Amino acid sequence: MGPVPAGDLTTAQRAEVQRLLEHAERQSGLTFSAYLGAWEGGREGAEALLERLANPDRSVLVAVDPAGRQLEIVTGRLARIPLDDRACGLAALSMTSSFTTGDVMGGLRDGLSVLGEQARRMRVEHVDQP
Amino acid sequence: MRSLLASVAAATVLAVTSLALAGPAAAQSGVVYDGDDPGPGYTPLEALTLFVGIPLLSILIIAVAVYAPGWVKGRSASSESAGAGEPLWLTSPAGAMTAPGGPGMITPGGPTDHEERGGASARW
Repeated sequence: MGPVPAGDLTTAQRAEVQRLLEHAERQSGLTFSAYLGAWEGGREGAEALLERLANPDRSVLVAVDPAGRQLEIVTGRLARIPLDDRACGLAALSMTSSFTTGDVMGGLRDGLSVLGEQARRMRVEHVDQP
Repeated sequence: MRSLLASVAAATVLAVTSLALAGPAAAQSGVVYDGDDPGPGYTPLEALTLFVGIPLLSILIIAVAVYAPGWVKGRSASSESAGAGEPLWLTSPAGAMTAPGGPGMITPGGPTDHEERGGASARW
């Protein structure tokens, strides 16, 4: 399989990713970001990308470098409480399954769905639903 | 493009079937009534043009009219994404979120003892 070019998403696919991010945010109350392209510094570089967000502590960054075949999921200091590393590992596994076949969009869809679902806020009867 | 070919193939099958089914009806039209003036009739070429060519041309025009906007959009979308190489960064609208902080929420509103980032790394 050849490398998938970075940022090679159509307008419709970008809109779908945006919808997935918004859905994950509504589910969890966390800010979700997707970065598609190359970055430097591996894990530390991805953490530096997270720092550039408005509220890094409550944010989740999904960074995908299709050409470098690298995926980093970075959770902020507070975001890692509802979204622990095991849940992130599960999302990473589902994403790389699609990336292996060259399906970048499918991987993003699966990963963001898993992350949003895993980070879902606990609903408390008589508090959230009076 | 595949769906267009399928449409044209379906139209061709429909036209041929219609002609075949119209055969028996045409056979009964040999009866001549008073005052009938059936005229010289069509040559095979005229019949083909009238009953096959023109319908196919109409179908083709309609199909192009239906699919052309999609083709144009697809081309412009791919030219937009051809700026590939540029990283794409999308973020959920954080301003719209309600930060969880009430009782029963998993995410605490205040500081915690978590000092480091979490997450996962993978390569494929």
